[in-house]
Amino acid sequence: MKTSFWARRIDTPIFSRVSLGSVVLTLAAVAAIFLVPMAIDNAYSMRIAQQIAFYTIAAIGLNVVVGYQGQVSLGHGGLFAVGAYASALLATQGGVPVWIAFVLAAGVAGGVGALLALPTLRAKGPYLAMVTIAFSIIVFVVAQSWTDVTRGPEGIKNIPGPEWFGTQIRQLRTFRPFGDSGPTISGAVAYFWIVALAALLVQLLTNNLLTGRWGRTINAVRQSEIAAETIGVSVYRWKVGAFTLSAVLAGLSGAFFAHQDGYIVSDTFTFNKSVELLVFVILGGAFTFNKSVELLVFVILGGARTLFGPLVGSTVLVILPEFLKTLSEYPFVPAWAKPILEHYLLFYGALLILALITMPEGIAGALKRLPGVARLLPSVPLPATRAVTALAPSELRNGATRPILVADDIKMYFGGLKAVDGVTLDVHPGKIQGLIGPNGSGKSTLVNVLTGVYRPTGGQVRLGDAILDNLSPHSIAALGVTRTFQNIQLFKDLTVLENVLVGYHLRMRYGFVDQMLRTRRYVREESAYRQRAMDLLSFLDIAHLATAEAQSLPYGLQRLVEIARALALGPSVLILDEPAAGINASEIGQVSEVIRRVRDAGVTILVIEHHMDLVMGVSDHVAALDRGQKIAEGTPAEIQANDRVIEAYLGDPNMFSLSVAEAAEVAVAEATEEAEAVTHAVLER
Amino acid sequence: MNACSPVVRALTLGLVLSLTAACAQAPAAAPSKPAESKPAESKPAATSPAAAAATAPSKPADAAKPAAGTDPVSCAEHGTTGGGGQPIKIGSSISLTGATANFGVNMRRGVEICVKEFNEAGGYQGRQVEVIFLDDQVKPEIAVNNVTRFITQDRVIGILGPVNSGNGLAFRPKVEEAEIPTIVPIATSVSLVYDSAIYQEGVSKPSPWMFRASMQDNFQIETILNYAKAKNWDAIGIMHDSSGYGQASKETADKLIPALGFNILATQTYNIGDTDMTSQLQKTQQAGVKQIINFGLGPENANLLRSAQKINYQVQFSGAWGFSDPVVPQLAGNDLAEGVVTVASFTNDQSPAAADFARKMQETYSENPFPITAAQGYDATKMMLLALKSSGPDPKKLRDAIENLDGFRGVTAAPAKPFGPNRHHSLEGKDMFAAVYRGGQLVRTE
Repeated sequence: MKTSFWARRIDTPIFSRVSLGSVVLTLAAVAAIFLVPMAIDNAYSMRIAQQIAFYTIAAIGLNVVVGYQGQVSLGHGGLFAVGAYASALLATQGGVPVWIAFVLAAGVAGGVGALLALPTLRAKGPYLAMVTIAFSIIVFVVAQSWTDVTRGPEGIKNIPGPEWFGTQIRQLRTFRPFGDSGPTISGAVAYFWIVALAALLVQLLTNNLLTGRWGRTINAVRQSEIAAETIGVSVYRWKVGAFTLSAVLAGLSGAFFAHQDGYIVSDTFTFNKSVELLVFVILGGAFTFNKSVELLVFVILGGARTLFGPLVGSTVLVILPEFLKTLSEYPFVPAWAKPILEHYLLFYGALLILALITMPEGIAGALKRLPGVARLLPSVPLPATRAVTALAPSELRNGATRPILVADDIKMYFGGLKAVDGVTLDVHPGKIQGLIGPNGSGKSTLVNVLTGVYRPTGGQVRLGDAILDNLSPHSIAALGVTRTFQNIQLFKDLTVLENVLVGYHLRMRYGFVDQMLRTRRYVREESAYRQRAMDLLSFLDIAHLATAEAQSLPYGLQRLVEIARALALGPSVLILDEPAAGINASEIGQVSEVIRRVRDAGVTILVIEHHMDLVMGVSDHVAALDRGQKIAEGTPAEIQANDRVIEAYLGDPNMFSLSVAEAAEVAVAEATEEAEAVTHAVLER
Repeated sequence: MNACSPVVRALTLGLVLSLTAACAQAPAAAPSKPAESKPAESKPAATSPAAAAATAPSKPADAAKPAAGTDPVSCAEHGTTGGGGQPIKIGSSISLTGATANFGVNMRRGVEICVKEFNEAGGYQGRQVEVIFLDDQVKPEIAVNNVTRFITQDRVIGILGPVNSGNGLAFRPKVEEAEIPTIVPIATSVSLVYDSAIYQEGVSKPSPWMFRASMQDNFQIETILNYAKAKNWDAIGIMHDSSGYGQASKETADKLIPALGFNILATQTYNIGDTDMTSQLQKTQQAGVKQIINFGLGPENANLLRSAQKINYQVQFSGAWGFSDPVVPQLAGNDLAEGVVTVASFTNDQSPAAADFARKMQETYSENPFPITAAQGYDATKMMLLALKSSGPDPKKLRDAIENLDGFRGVTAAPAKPFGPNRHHSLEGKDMFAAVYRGGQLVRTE
């Protein structure tokens, strides 16, 4: 593949494999940060620029949560305030040097964010939004009322600025930072340098995070929590982690805010209307404008889930009201327009609404769609594929006879409903075990028990010697049992290759810092796993789809991607929940063929299926369920001849030639059921 | 391929809509008033000389001064003709949108009238004075943006503002650093001008660069408590909002009350944004409270009146100048506002000069919904321009001239020598007075 000159990559110890274009852009940004203020040394413009820079930091953090991880936080104004107060108090009361106070304040906000997230993120749904609103209100009330510490509405005065070679930076003070012969610089410029360089650094590091494993994983969590769990991602920990990271950035931003003017006051962090807002926000018609919302708007307008959306959003939204406010001073504005311009906030609001409607992906998202822009974005070339012969740990492939996965007298009751009532099932290594049963017979429930989505009412699940019941899906995945879903659960916005890479989540050893700094270790491992992912895709004959967005594929191919992703985990047991559901007849043969191929590569398979051609064609051994109980077990031929099985299928001897249309109908019914069940299960946790 | 889930976007859209709602609220309030205020307006203007004649002699020498001057007060008297030149700039950072927009919008009118008069009389030696108004949206950080712009870009000689004390506290370090004199026409917090939150005469040190033409909180409290004493109120309850303003006011009142010998029967608080205060009022009712002294802001004060009506509680409401906000009669209605006592430095009927100013406001803007803010804005500007006349357009000399002003004549009750080295507030307790709502208008109490 031909790479353009700017996409060429350079090997460096950190920020390894960075493209030439990115290096040039970064250097240009640094140069601009240093040189532009020297040209326009105007304290007012510099203040605006400082605000853009520190709001960008907070917005980048919020983008991680709202854009990438998919939680709504209205509490980042509160975290911003926590950072501001922490830094101000450390510097004034604690006598901590300002540079250190910046870092500590970010840490304090991160800690508060984690404390907020730990209980809240256990639940799904809008709870985080609600809790964070409450949090913002609490922060405001504390800032207002705990006057001994925060000075309340009097504010904390004389917060020192950071020291620069022994001189304290104050906005209007001028000094010579580069020695007596150097140029005179105002404090406003110096502070801009600090904040802007910090913003640039934050931008680069989060870009690295978001384009690496970290970003891939939180993206995956947003799109399907249950799927992420079953390939070993501890959804809860990742959500808390993402929220904490964004809290750190909100706190850092707040600290920069506090030292900008050397004065903070509780009024800045107000929620105009406290309790009502909570209700109104939930109804979707909030009416007050506060810090949290401001930050949220920065993100959304800029373009959630775009790397530079926060920067674009902050820039536009800091400058726009300042510009509109002073618009009437410009000579080109006719006299009649001046009284109208007094209501400039109305125009501001109208412009925002217009932007949100016309640019659903935000400004940055819209810019990305301009012709020619996509070509400039750096891409990583795909590795060539190699043949794959073995997928599972070798000891499983060679002749173990003991059952590998054992479901022992499993009972799963929902209130009075006995969905599974004492089912025992042995799955033998290297074999394909089929599981059939009419609609509502308990198949999906059993799968959910085996994979940890449900905790069984009674009985035991064992993998070798390990006991699986009571473990969460991600722990079970870590032990080597994973699954696919009847209603396909791909990470839709990710490419096929990225979907598979998420599957290697548990294998990757490089850490947070490796990702942030793009160390050689990161590059080495990442490219190794890209290679393996490609191999796996070619094993399933879908390597040519590697760069396609998962949701753009037809159903049958999506099924294969889901299988590839599950295989990336390196499972000893793969549970396929109705792999034929929703796919057409011509694709069934392909799926059957793939299932056999996977078995031959050493993976034990449990396939739950309505489609009799498929299940009878591939299975080495089949069990049949009816009304929560196992009614038969044996080879496919034995099962097909079994009277109880035939009777279970409504006494219809033609069951085994159930048409595709009928099978699809049944599948849809079960899929609905399961979707509900999964939601409940996740909520319970 | 949406940028984010529909829920998030709907939510954000809603939040953004709120922006429009929030800012539309305040400016819209002003134009909606004329119908209500106009007829009432003309009355005091017509009768004011008589009213002033009745009240003026009862005041000591100090207050008699403005009344003695038969000339109407005008900023034209400080204008001087001359060679002309570049305009002289004054910056004004105030809230023109947001919760306190009423204060800012009406104050601006007072400033504009004064500057117009001054410029028509030649300005400063032929140079025009230009006031740049920038909205601070009731946000401290925006106020600092504005003031930074005034200092570094517009090179103003002085600043008029803010409306909200918090915003002023935020920008005070800037004007001190840049050494630009600032006169505060509206905001009332002690610490905005002095180095302490509690004012003690002779002990509290003023910031060299901050002056005040507004009614400092402690003097307002003193004034309303003295009024209560004079009226022999005997069943007093205190109410205040839970904001910093409300709490600080209550603390100040607590310090003054023992000396006055009041027995406070009940103290109740409410929050900013509360719309129903019936439970608090029921408690004061049960405690036998007949007079309530309240420290709160306009919208909540209106809700207080409405809540009392709901439980049919006949009580004398009084308080600091939060009750002067025109939203009180607007939201509660003139009937409920009738008889409520508040603190003022200005009413349209207090002097001939005041009546004349009210007439000018009415002529220029065909409404005058919040006379006291316009008057204080007018006087603050007049002080700065009088000082400019003697000092010339140099911020440091201007500051000295403001501090040493003498022979000032204003439309409010501000004295002829408003400031001194240790005194940076023009209005003291003795200059303020109780005003009462009569037919939706504030008039001076006898």
